[in-house]
Amino acid sequence: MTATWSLWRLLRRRGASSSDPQRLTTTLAIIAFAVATALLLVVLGGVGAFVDRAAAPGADADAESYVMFAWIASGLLVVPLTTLGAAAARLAVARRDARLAALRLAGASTGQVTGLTVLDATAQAVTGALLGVVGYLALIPLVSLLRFQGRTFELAELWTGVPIILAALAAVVLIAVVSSTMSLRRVAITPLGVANRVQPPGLTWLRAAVAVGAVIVFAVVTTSFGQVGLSVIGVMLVLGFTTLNLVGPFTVWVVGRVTAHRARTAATLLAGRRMIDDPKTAWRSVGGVALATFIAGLASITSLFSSASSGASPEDAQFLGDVATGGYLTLGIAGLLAAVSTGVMQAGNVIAQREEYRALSLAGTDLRVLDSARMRETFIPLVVTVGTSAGFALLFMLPVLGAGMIAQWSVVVQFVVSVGVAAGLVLAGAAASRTVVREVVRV
Amino acid sequence: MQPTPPPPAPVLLAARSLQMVYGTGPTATHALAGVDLSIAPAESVAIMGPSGSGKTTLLHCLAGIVRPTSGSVLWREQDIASLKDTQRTALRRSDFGFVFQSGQLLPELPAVENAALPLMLGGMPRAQAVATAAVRLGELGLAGMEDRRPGELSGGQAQRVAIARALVGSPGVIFADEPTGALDQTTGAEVMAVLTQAAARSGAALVVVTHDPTVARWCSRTVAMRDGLVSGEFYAPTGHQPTAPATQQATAPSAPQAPAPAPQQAPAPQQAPAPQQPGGQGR
Repeated sequence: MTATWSLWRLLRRRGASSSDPQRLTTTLAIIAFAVATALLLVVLGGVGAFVDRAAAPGADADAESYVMFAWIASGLLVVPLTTLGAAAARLAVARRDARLAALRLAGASTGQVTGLTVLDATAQAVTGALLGVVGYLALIPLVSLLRFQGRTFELAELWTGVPIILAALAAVVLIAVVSSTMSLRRVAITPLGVANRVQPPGLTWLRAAVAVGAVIVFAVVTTSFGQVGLSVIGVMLVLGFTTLNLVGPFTVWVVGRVTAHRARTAATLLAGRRMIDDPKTAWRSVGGVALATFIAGLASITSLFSSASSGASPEDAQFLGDVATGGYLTLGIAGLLAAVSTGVMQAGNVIAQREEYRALSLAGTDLRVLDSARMRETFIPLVVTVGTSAGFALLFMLPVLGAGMIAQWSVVVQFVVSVGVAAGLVLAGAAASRTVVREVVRV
Repeated sequence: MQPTPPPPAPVLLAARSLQMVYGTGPTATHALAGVDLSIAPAESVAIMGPSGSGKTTLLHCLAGIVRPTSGSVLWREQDIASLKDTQRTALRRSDFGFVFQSGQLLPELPAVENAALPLMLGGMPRAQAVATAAVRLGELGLAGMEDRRPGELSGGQAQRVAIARALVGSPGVIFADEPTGALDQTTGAEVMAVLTQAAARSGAALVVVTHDPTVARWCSRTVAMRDGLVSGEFYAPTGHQPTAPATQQATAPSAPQAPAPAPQQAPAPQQAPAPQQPGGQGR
């Protein structure tokens, strides 16, 4: 352990010069850890605020429902948050693959290489998480402007307390350690560290069968919606999320096959092949936004009933309006998380393929073609999955809108614009990897 | 060995008083200190020298990858050193082919699509590009391997896919930077046989940067470099080529095979370590 610690300190000192491109990946990874931590704490602060309000003497009858919805929203954000943390950890490792493989050749043991990785990831996660706490503190005044239950939040309501902050820090570091260790397995197994790319196994149609089964179960349960409680809705949402995570990569894989088959340009062909190659990664970029889109769509329907013309009582109108706000808030946070995840994952991919990028660039390939391939790799699954989610949400909306509430088309516009903004954030994240490409191909 | 150069041939690619300086002031490094070189159509030239002699920098300048500090690079009598970066990029794509030591094939694309990439980038319809690439792969002994990923190919096979890709656009010149550097000697000889014969068949000139005399022997001329200058030139006897391993001869039937020559006069022996170039040059 002492040897590992000394080696890590030596490599850290040597890798700290400004000319080292490793600085770029370190910076990106720290930013990603910071964003994940800040948003995690904001979400937990929000849940805590609703819990406090529900526990306060004279709380509204709806207060418990607010807590339930807050937990559901947090649950929806767990996977995007974890994905971001894991992507950051993989990025931390990406640039080090070659160096660690060289260390293995020089005689470092598997344990030492793993130890170095864990130390690297931990250092970055701790730095990022501490910055994230600062970011959380900076965000509290902004979040306090949101109105729920007819009033804005007190700053104290959104303060999670030190134990929660420490737990969040520990969770972020744990995700970093686990993810970095897993992504390093191939280096640890062989000193050559060669990642042989072979024909990727296709995803099975079993995933599609699971989706069909889930839809049937969902249909049966929702037809008896009046008889089920909020907890059942919560369980259904978790099941729905799990199903989506099974089906999502399969959908991306199918879309990738169609894209590659029909591609006429090099950029589209590359995008399609990459989607086939690693549909899970492509899904991770867009899955959170797709689900949040559907939830925001359903939540926005409730805002139709919150207007005075709907005949709801003022209390009910306020509750339903708040549900819609919560839905949009979840979509916004999911969009932000997905944007950073996508940027970080794409940067990691570019760094992992830096030799190929460099060779193609030297051979006269216009970097814009490679940029375009990366954008399409995100854009195509995004359009398919978010488009499908938004389409289903609109399908749910239309009957309600058709029932004499044409004046509420603004709700549809608001929903579509919100989805557009969330999707735009993800694409902006993908576009950010251009900087990394310019860095790695520099002759 | 033919110690005197053959009669003057038309010039396809030329370097004139080429200088490349990295850094300024007392720390400046002259990677190229005034290189003059002419390459004829369909000629194969090996650029040899120890690490840091400037051979890779010379290749980068000749291929328009970097702009020299001074001097000119004439490609079909046009000075490419004065072209804008976008123009040089387009020229590399349309007129030049490249083979590197490794890392040039995209792992997510099967062999045939890797080889077809330059054509698709140039705007050729996919079906036509893939069909053309498949023919090239077949010529290089890779028939039946079109759908294999780079990870499913041996090192030699992967280099042949890279050669197919370099040749697919019918370039005027192929630049190869240590093309056998990651291969064992037998496979390296196979790859050099395929490279020189395929270039000759397509009428392309070949510029190979290497530090390995056995690789240089496959070329009709060897240019030795030292400290950023051409320190000597050696011509192989007309019509000679080293013997390719038996496995390779079957894949390149049209190339003339001749008995292995006597070892050449070793160009630019590594007498003293040359200074390392900055910025990862001279790999």
